[in-house]
Amino acid sequence: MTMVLETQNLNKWYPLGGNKRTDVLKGIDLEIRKGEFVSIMGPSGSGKSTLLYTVSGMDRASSGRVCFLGREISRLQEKELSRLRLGKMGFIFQQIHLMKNLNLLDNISLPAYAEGVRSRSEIDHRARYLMNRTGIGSLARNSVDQASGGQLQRVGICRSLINEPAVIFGDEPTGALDSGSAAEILDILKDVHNGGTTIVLVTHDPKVAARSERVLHMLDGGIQGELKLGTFAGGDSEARARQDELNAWLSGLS
Amino acid sequence: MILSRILFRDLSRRKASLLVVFVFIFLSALMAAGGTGLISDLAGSLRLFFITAKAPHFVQMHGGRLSAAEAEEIASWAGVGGLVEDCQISGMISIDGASLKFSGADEAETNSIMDISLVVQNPRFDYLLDMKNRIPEPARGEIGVPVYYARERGVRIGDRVSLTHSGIQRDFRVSLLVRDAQMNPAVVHSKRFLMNRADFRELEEIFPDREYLISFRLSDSSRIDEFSEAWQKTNLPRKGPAVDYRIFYVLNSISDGILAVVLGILSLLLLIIAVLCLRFIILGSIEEDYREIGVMKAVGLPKKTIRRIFLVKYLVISGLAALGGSLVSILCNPLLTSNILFSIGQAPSETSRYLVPLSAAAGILLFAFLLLLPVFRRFGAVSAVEALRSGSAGDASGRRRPLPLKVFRGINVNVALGLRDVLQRPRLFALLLLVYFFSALIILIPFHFLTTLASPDFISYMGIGRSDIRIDLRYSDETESCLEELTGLLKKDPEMERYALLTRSRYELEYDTADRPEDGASLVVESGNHSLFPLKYLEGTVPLSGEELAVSYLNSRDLNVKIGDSLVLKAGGSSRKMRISGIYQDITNGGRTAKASFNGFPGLPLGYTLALELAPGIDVQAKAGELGALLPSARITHLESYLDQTLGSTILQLSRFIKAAIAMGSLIAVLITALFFRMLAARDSGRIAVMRSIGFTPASVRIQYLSAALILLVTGLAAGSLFANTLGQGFVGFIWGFMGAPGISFVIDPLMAYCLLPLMLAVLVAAAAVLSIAGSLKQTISLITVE
Repeated sequence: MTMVLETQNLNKWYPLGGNKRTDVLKGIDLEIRKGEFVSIMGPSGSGKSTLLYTVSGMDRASSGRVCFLGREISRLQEKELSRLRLGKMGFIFQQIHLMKNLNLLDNISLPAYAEGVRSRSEIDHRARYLMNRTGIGSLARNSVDQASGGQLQRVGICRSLINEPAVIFGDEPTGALDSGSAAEILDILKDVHNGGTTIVLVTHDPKVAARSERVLHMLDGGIQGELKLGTFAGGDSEARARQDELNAWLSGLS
Repeated sequence: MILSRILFRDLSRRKASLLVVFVFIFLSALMAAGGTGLISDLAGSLRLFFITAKAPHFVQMHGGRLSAAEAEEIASWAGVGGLVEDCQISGMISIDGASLKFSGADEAETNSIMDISLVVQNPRFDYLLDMKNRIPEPARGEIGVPVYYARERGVRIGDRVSLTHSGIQRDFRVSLLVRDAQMNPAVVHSKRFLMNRADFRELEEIFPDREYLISFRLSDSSRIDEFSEAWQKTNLPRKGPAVDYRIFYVLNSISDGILAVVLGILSLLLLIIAVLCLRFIILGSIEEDYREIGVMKAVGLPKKTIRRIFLVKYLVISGLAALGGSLVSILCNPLLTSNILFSIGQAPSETSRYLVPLSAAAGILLFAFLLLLPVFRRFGAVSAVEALRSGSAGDASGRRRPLPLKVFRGINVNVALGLRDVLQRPRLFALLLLVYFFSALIILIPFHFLTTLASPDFISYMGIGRSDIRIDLRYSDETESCLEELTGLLKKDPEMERYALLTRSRYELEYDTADRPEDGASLVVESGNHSLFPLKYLEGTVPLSGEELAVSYLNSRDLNVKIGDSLVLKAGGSSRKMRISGIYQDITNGGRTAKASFNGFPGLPLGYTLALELAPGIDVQAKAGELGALLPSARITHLESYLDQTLGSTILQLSRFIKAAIAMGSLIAVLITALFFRMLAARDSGRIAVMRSIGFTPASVRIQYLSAALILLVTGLAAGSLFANTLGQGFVGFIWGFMGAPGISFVIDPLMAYCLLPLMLAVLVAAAAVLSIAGSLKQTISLITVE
C-alpha cells in the first residue's frame, strides 16, 4: 500500500531563552498508509496535537524528516505548504473554526474557491452534495450562529472534503459535542473512510479511537505504543468490543 | 499603585497606536496654533505698521498737473466740517518702466505692469518706512526701492538704479528698501520710489509726467463712507481712482491671510481625523480589554475608576501632543511670518503672541474630548458576566445574514472576500473611509486652488479679458493723437489677429430708486468692445448695447444693484440710463470697476487700454518688445508676465505649501492605514489562522486586506474629489468674495488630480496595509490552539 505520511526521527522543541528549551516531540518515527484510519491518543501535554500540526505542515519540525505523499515537506516554502494543505489535506478542528462572516455553504466552498481548479458551479454543486450527504442540505444559506454544534462540525467535515483531499486530519473532532452529535459525526467519518480517504485523528476519547484501524499512544513527546484494531465493520456490539480491547491495552500501558 | 501599573502596562502594549494619536493631535495643535498665531501676528503687525506710517484714511489719485489754486481749494474744502484732521497733496513723477533699470537686470522694466512713481518723503503722514519701520530721508544720489522689487527682482541695498528719459540718464545707489502702507502688495499695480528732495527737483526737469496723491486723515475713521460721499459730490480734481484705508488692510493681508485660513482648515481636518482615530482606538481598547474590564467590574472597581484608567492615558498623551504642537508652532513662527516680517515688519513681542497659540492648542484638546465623551460612556455597557463568559463584546458581523460569495461572481475570490468584508463591517471601515476622504480634501483643495491661480484663465478674476498683449496708456493731451496713429498701424499689421480699444473714464452716479445710497458717488467705467476678449461673468452677460453696463462684484454689493437694475451715469452735462447686464469679478486695485460698450458719451478721461490678440505662431514676447520700442510712453505687458508680476510670489508661497499639504495628506493616509490594519489583523487573528490552516497562502490573505484598503481609498478619493470640486470650491469662493471674486471655479489638472496623486496615494496606502499585517499572516490554528 502507498505511504501517505512518513516521519523519521521527528523532533519539535520550543526555545525558552538562553540555552533552555522544551521538547514537545522526541524522535518520532511514523508511517501511515493510504486508506488507513489512525488515531493518536495520549494525556494532555503528550504532544499529540503538535504531532498533527507538524505532519500537516502547519508547524515546522525542529529536526527530522516529514514526507507527505513521497515528498519531504519539512523544508518547503510557506507558499508550497499552503498549496499542499489546500489541495491534499482536509482539517477538522475541535472548535470547528468556521468564518463567521460567511454562510455555511460558503464556509464549505472556501477552500475550493481558493484552490481555483473547479468552476464556481462545480464548487457549488459539490458543496451541496456534501451537505446533503451529511444531512445538513437545508442549512446552506444559514449563518454560523444559526446552527447547532453538531451541525457546525458537519460543516467542518464538508469543508475538509471539498477538495477531495488525500488525508483528513482531525483534532478532537467530537471534543466539543454532546454524545448524540458525537456519534453522528463518527458515523460520517466512517463513511468518509469507507470511501477510501485516509484519516488521522487526535483524540482522548476511547469511543472515537475504537473506530480506527490503528491507535498510537503518545507519552512525553514520544510514541509509547501501537494497537492494531483492524477495520471497523459497524454496529454497537463491535464498537463496544473494540472499546474494551482498547481500554485494556491503555491500562496495560499505564 | 495597581492602577498606575495597569496604565503603564497598557501604554507599553499600545505604543504604536498611541504614537499615531500623538502625531495627529500634535499636528492639529501645530496647525491651529500656527494659523491663529499668524493671524494674531498679522493683525498686530499691520496695526503697528499703519500707525507708524500714519497711513491715510482716504486717497484720491490725480493724473496730470495740479495748480496751486486747485491745491488751495482742496485744502480749504478739507478744513470745513471737522471731518478731516489733515490733508496732504503729494506730487509724484510718473515714469515709464522702460525708463527704469536695476543694475542686476539685463534690461529695463519695459514690460512691468507697475505704475512707477518717484516721490519724496511726505511731511505729515503717509510715510514710506525703511526695514526698521523708521521714517527715512535718502541722501543725494540715493534711492529707496519698494520691498516688492527686493522680493520679485532680488534688488539689494548697494545695487544701482538708472533712470533714463530722452537720452538723459541719472544713476542712484539703493540705500534702503521702503515699505509702503498703500502700495506694498503685488496686487497693487503702483509703486513709489523714495528720493532725496534735491534729486527729485532735478528729475522733475527731466521727466514730464505728473501724478498727485490727494490724501486725507479723518478725525474719526469710522466716518469714511460719509467722507467719501462728500468728496465725490465736489468738483475738485480727481482724474484717477480713489481708495480708502480698508482696502489697504485687505490688500496687505491677502497672502498671509490666505495662508492663515488654509492652516485653520487643515487644523480642523486633522483634528477630526485625530478624534476619529482616538475613538477607534478607545473602542478597540475596550474590545480588547473586554475581559479585563469585566474582571475589574466583577471585583468591585467603580465605573469611574475604570474610566479614569483609560481616560488618564489618552488625556496625558493628547495633552502632551497639544502642548508640543503649540510650542513647536511658536518656534516655527518666524518661518510662517517671514513674509510679514519682510513686508510690513513685526509687532514687538507681546504676551498674546504666546497666549494665542497656547489657547488654540488648549481649544483643540477640549474640543477633542468633548467629541469623545459619548465613547467613554461605553464602559458602563460592559457586562461583567458576559465579559467573563465570552471574553468579547461579540462580533457585529454575526448579527446580519452574511452576503453569499456567489454575489461576487467573476471577481477573484480574495478580492471578493476583501470587498465583502467592507460591506459586512461598514461601521468598522467607516473610519478609514473618512480618513481617505479628508486626506483627499487636504491634498486636493489647495492643489486645485494653486492650479486655478496659476492658470491663464485666472486673468478673468482680475477684471481683464484674456488677450495676448495689453497696452495701457495714461491719459494726457497727446494720447488721443498717439492712439489714432497706433490703431492705424494695428489695422495694417498682418501679425495682428484682432484688437479692442477700451477707454477708462470716471462718471458720476445718479440713482433712480429711493433705496440706494445718496447721489454723488462716482464710477470708473471702461468702455469699448468687451465681447472680443470677454470675461467670465458671475451673473448676466457682457454689455453689448450702449445702454448696458457690467459692474464688478464689489461694486454691485456697494451700489446694491443686481441684473436688470438701472443706474444713471452723468458726465459733462449729459446723462445716460444704464441697465446692469452683468456682474464680473475683479480682485485688483480695490476691485471696484465697471464696463460698458457705449460711444459718444465721454466722461472724465483716465486712460486707455488696447487688448491685442496676435495671429497664430507669432512670438508674443518679441511682439511686446517691438510695440514697446514703438510706444515708449505706454505700458506693454503680455498675459504671462501680467499674472506673474501680480501673483508670482503668492503662487510661489502657495506651491511650497502645496507640497507640504500633499505630504501631510499622504502621511495621514499612510499612518492611519497602518494603524487600522494592524489592529484589524489583530482582531481578525482567528479568522486569518483558519484561512491559513485550510490552505490560503499569506499572499491570498494579503490580497483580501489590500483589496479592502484600495476599495476604500478609491471611494474616499472619489467622494473627496467631488466635495473639493463643489463645496470646497464654494468655500474658497466665499473667502475670495471679500476680495471681489466670490465665484472662483477651480481649474483642474486632471492628470495630477485624478491620475498621479491618486496613484501615489494608492501605492503608499497599499504598502502601509501590506507592511502592517505582515506579522499576522504566519499564524495557523496550531499557534492559537491550546493542547
